[in-house]
Amino acid sequence: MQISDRFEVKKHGGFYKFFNKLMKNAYILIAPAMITCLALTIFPMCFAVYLGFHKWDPISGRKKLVWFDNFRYLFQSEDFIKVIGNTLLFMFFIVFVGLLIKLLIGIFLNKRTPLHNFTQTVIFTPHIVASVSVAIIFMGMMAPKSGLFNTVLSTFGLPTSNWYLGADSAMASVIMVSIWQSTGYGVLLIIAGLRGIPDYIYEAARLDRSKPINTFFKITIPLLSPTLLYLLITTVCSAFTSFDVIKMMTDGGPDNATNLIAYYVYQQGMMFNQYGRAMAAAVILLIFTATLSAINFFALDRKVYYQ
Amino acid sequence: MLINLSNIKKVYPGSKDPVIEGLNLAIKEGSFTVLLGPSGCGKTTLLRMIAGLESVTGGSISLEGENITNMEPGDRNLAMVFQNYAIYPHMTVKGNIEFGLKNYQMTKQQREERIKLVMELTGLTGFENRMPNQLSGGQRQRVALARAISKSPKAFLMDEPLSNLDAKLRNQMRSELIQLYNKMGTTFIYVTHDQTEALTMATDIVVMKDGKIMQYDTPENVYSNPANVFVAQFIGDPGMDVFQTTDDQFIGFKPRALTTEPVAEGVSFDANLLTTEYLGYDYQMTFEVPGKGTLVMRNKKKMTSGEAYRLSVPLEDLYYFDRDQNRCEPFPITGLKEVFHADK
Repeated sequence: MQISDRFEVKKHGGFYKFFNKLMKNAYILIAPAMITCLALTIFPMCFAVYLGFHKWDPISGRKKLVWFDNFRYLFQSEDFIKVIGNTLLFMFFIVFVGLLIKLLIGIFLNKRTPLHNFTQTVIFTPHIVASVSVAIIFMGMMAPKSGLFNTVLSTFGLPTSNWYLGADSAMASVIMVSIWQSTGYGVLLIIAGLRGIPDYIYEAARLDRSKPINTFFKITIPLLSPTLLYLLITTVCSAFTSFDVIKMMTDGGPDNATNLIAYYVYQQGMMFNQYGRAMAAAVILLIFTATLSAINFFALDRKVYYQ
Repeated sequence: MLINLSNIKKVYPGSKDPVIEGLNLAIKEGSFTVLLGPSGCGKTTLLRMIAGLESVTGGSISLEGENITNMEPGDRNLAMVFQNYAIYPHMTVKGNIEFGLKNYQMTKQQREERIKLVMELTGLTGFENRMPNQLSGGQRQRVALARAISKSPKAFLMDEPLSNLDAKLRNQMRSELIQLYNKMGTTFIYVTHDQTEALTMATDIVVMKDGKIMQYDTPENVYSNPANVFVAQFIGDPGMDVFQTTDDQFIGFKPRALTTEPVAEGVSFDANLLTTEYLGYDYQMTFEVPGKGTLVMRNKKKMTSGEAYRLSVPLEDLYYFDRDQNRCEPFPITGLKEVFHADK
């Protein structure tokens, strides 16, 4: 039963609906959370939008309203268009290929033997290692001359690669590292989701003459859908805001091949002192993530089954 | 015979002791056979082996003469109703029934007809598009039944299907299951630990203990002619009071056969009344027989706790069991050693 049903607040409507004696205590109770949220999320967000319409030099403190000039600059800049393309490509691989890998490993590891349990723990460790360390380790392994990857490849007579230093291979390398790092966490969630599906459902399916493939697509995937939706939304957001691996490994290069929006924001602001442009790019990033999350949420939520 | 189990053995992986060993059972076609026993007696394991959900360690199972021991569950033409219904939570009522039918390669028209039929049979018409979480426990149970019926199996396997329902609904569903059985005439194999369910529904009862069959008989015989002390004490509410005689044989009697009136022929002993419980139809009294243990009496007359009584059982109400606790011919009673209780 809703509060409004019990107290007939609806009769009053309007202002009274949100501000009345009954609601007063509720507002007091959520105030700490609300204030934190306002100060740390809403205010910076609004400030970013505000700055996106200005040319701002933080050193001199001069600020000039330029309306849409920053946005116009971004959309006329070939670099920024490339950056958006890169980001979408990066996101596509991280989300779809990454999710597929997580799902496959999760299903493979979802057995209760000591070896499987051990592997589950081990595969999670990349998640608790700092991205910077991960990047450094991979840079070592991907070093063109002395790195492990090329050494192994050349031992078997296979073609070697310049990995994160080559214009063609840099994006693939960065994607590989990012997927590798996020896999353990996703696998853990998927295993938890799989374990939440009771055995008797599978037994009923066996008695219903369902083949394993049919059971997977008709039973497992739908019952796993809340986990998959959660992973989808969080992965889309983290793909868009991916920064540290790029910063460490490629600095967006070579020739902007791995420059993503989040890194571009950093470049414009911290390196070129173009805070207005940086904030305008940040606003575009915000619009992207918000829209995609909303689409995911509303479009898929209907198809997701919550128990 | 519909289903023949011969020399069945079951050992769970990682365990040394068999749950079931050397079990033989022939289930009659068209019977309502109830596997009854305390928890851990192997009745559910047995049912799951018939269903194919549990592997058989030794022995064989045949259905209409065909060996199905290692056949996939879906290929056995058996349907199962689970204790927790096991309906697919993400599918509508109709979807739940249709899922199996699709795997049976039925055409859309055949499926629609079948669904309509079973929905009527289980009283679910109008609920086709409901999701399971919009249904009550009883309705979910019906969905599970409808799903089982839709496949027109050779036998229905039911694993304590009523145990998750409240008492009132359980009685109602029990009666509906009996009606369903009468309408369809298909073989039912039903697992329960509830003797009321067994006695009311079954045409045949298999009483089990520790993976062994203690008695396989009609409900009437299981109740009035128990084959051994275990069945005598397990069946009936409460079960028999059993005395051990001084030469280690046993005599038993139903708690309702006990009387405070003197009898011409029979056994008599002194007892102190410990508790009186009012059960609506009658009273249940627990007595202590000094130096021998406690026993239970059922009587319509209320008796006062704390008093001593002289209790008697007429000769014709006595059951005799030999040293191995199996039913035997009447023997001369040589003193009463101790009360031998089911829960001991």
